[in-house]
Amino acid sequence: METLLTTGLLETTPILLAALGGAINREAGIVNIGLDGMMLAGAFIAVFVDWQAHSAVLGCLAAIGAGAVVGLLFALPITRLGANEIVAGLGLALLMPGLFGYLLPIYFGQASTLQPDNVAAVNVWHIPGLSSIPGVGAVVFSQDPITYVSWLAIPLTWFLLRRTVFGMHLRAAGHNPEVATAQGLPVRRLREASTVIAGALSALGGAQLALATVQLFNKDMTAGRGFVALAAFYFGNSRPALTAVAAFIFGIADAGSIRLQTAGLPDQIPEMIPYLAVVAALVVVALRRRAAARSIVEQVAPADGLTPSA
Amino acid sequence: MSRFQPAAAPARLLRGLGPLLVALAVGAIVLAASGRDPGSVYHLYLVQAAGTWPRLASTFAAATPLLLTGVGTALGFRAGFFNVGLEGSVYVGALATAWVAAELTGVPGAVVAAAALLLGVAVGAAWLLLPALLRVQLAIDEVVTTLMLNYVAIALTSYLVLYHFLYQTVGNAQTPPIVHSAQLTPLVSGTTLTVAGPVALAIVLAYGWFLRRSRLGIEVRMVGDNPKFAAAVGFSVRRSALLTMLAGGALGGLAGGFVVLGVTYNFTNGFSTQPGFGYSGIAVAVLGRNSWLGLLLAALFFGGLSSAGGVVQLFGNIPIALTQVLQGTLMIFAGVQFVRARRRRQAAQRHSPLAEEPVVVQGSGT
Repeated sequence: METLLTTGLLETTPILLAALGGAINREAGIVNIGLDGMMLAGAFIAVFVDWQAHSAVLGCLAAIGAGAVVGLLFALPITRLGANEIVAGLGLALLMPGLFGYLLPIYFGQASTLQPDNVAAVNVWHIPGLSSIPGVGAVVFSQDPITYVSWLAIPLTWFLLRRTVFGMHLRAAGHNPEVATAQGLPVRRLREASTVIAGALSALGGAQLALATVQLFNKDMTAGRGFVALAAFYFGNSRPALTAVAAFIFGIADAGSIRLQTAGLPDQIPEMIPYLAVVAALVVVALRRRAAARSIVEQVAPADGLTPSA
Repeated sequence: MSRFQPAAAPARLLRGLGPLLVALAVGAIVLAASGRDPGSVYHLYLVQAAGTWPRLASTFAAATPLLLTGVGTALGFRAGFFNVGLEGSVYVGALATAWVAAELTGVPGAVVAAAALLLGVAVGAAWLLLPALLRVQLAIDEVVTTLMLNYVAIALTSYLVLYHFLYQTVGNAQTPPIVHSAQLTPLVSGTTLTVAGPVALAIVLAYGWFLRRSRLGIEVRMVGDNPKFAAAVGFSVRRSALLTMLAGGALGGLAGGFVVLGVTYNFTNGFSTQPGFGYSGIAVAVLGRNSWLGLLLAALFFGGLSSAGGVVQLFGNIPIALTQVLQGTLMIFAGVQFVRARRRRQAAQRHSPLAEEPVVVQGSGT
């Protein structure tokens, strides 16, 4: 049980970071399907810079920077040239493994994996005091620093979106672009900024994936986690706490599927959980929305048989 | 471009050239940066994709599933529905086809093949029934549901193959080979161009006819162009949604089925290789701007990239992943309009009446 929690928390981190980024992005009006590609870019840059500079911290910082740049480059065709965000997102998720699949053989002589010898790991930090709490304390408070950052990012995301002027502007750009524009807000620039944040957070998730447990890069190492992150922020309706809960559930499911696989049992069933969960969540939200709309109609016009168009 | 708006066919085709040039330019930069001469690499691609009749036949063969998924995706786009779930239909359709074609014995091969394809088509369509119904009944955004179901389909087929239908695990898990007589024979020896090619060609022509000449097709187009107006004059948005999404799923199932009967002769986990026939179909639909001729040209372009890719890797020492780079870049820039910014803004203000919350938000803030 404790190992499931350990692996689950480890698996949660990249999903959580990307999901929070995706939530911010969506609040600002861009549904980011390219999170997976951003995560992969972060994983590569983290390993490469760590290897060259012999520093995990520099590797992570470089990943954040690279993610921000990828985010900006991804946002510009959407905000400035009218590219379709869904198709572009799928394109980015496709482009990144392709790019590394092209570059790795040429520059490193490897088909798909970059595993240099002396890459510094992102090590576990035992939080003094808390990690000696009996039971789960040793598990929960013996994580890598990126995981702690991902936990801090939950309230920070909420604070950013709900309590800062910038966050308010982001949400205005997403929820009511016409009014935001009329108010003189730079809607396109706000959307670009939100995509930059999504890129940075996803890339940090990628850095954790590449440096925390293993110290290597593989062009397929995200294994669709960016899409699980998409499921998480959809499940959480872009609210940070609920998104985090979803990311955690999906992380545990991921850990479960790894264990089933090791035991030779079907791991495909837990693999489906995030994707089915988000469909179920969307149904629940839609039913609730319809019930709410119906009750309003009944209050306003109880007898005329009008129903809100679904 | 949340929903791809119409334009005169030639203008629409020309606009597809912009993203294509951007993708080729990005590819050239990547090639030049890695010490390759882009001109000679592209020349090698062209020769290998279309230099001889057999190479051209290979390109057409590689284009066949993309043509089917491209048409299937374009149907949804044309009606204003963002169905990105054909990848899932390809998987479940292919598995259904492989199952029938391996288990059904004692009847002529043609009957086996027909029955297998029929089930593949039906299962492919059925796969998208849920997202289609959720869309028309509860206004649930089809982008997310169809995308999520792709992953479910891949995991589900993988499970079924491993635990219920396993033949052997050499590399990826596989189902038993289909009966020999059900294999589609190549029309050009040494290629995988089978009857599937002409069928796909007929389907893309039928798609063009359907949208232009049939009453239902005109209804689909009107719903796509202006759903509010279409609903006001009595056209059914629901019917268009169900029709185009299920037909899309059917075409995805057909694409998967044809690959099984004519190329792989079994179902292998992960057979829809990167980027996947369904995802490539999205690229085909956006590059071809939903016109039948555009779809045909776009499918041939991607088919050429993939049929030449292997040879170029071998002789030109160019990793085959370059294809993915080109395709990914193309998709990022696919919806870009380098001209006519005003129309884009108009499009931004148009939402389908089914969508309570327009999730596909136009990125124009002006």
